Amino acid sequence: MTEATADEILEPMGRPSGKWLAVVGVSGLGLLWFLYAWIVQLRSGLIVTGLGDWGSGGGISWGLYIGTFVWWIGIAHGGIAISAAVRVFKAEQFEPIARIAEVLTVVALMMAATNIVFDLGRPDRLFNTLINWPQTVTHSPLAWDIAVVTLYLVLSVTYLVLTLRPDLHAVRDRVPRYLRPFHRVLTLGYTPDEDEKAEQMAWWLAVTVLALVPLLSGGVVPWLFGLIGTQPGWYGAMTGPSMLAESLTTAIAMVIIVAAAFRYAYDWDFIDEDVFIGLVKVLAFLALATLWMLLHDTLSGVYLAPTAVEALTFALIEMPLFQIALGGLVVSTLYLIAVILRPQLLHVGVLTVVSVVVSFSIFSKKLIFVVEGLLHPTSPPLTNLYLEGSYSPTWIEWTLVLGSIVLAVFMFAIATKLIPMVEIDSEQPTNTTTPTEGNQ
Amino acid sequence: MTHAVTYIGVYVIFGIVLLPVYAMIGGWLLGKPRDFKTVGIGLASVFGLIAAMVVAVWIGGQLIGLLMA
Repeated sequence: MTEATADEILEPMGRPSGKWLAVVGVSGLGLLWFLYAWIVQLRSGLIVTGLGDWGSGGGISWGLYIGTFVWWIGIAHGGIAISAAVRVFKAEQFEPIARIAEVLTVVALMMAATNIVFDLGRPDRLFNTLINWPQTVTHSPLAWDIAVVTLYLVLSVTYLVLTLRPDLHAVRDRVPRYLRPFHRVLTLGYTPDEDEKAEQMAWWLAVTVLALVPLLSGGVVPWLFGLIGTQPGWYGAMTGPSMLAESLTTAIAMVIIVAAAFRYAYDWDFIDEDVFIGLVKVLAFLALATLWMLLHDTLSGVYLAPTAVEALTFALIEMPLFQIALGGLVVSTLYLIAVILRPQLLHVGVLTVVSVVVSFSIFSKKLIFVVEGLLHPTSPPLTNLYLEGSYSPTWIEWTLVLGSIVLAVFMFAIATKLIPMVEIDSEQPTNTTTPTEGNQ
Repeated sequence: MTHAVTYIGVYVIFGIVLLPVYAMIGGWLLGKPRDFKTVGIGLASVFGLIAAMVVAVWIGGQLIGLLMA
């Protein structure tokens, strides 16, 4: 494994490069368009979306926003899972991308929460969800989600802060001056004596977050759907495991995309082929697990299934978006298996494209899942009572959803200026040039 | 048929989902090396962030209200 030098790690915190300025400029312009679309929705209400009243209204109340929320929650697991694997299972090959992955987790959770806000009819009453939480938690999976997503975000940020403190202390004289007050807040009360305890606490945090993964993407998020008996497309014990497999798949795909982006942007060769081969193995296993779950879902839906489930499954199979998602997942999995069998087939650019295809396929699958459950309420007592619904997202919805991706890119670009994106080896000398000077 | 069984959220969240968190806090406090100052920093981070999020949600709601006006 190629070792990262402190100079390489601190380079992004120095003078902005052309690539960085391009990313911030383009994403900044994208954010202006996103803000315009959001203000239009805030002022006009959800009437400007394709969402509508469910049931006799013939519409659906959950669409692109909730599908994207579920997708972002899934992505959030990749980061912390990679980092926890390094700390708990000593998977040292992933060490160069551990912190990048941790930041991905925090950003993804924030984008998940943002998509929930998009879906609210009166987002100005957001605080009411917290005021009423002590009552709603007793019976509402939505309140359970608020609790667990908040908890996951708090633990992820605490993990990031605990592991950052020794690094920020080590490079305190080398970072640009304007960052020092911010770093002083993060390293408040820090002494090198705490390192051993902080490492032990980070280990416990990693174990806790790993335990929360199946309780979040395989628990409270799928329980929003899987516990609801009136929607045959949603209901069932398999919803949790299926969603967990899909979430972890898209999470690792996104870790590959972000790792490749950093390698390209900063010529970080220490994110080497060993890292990507390791990620390919994990992604191939997870993609196969997702396909296996899909096989279960489909086979049990077409072979002597209850009428409602059978109709839903055939509607799903005939849907072009589903066919594209399935095709994308199958072709990607074949490439991943080929790379495992013949590692010389690995090309980081191709792998990045494949990871984008995997991520888009899972996004499509999650969107279809959310929408289909509401479009076909055919279970008693709703049989023949409610219309078969329709849903077509508007440009506002697409803009806000794409805006959350652009915002994530923007936040990543800002994060690279604020903290070292790779853990600094404490045995390395760090007293050479400052990053600002180093780039002049 | 009643649905009294749907009132299980307190048990689900505080009895199952939070179990790893209880174990983590126990591990922080009882695990070696013992260093309650660093544990205090960790707990301050956890509870400080929760408080910060509550405040951020309130401020966010107010700002959104202004945009909607």
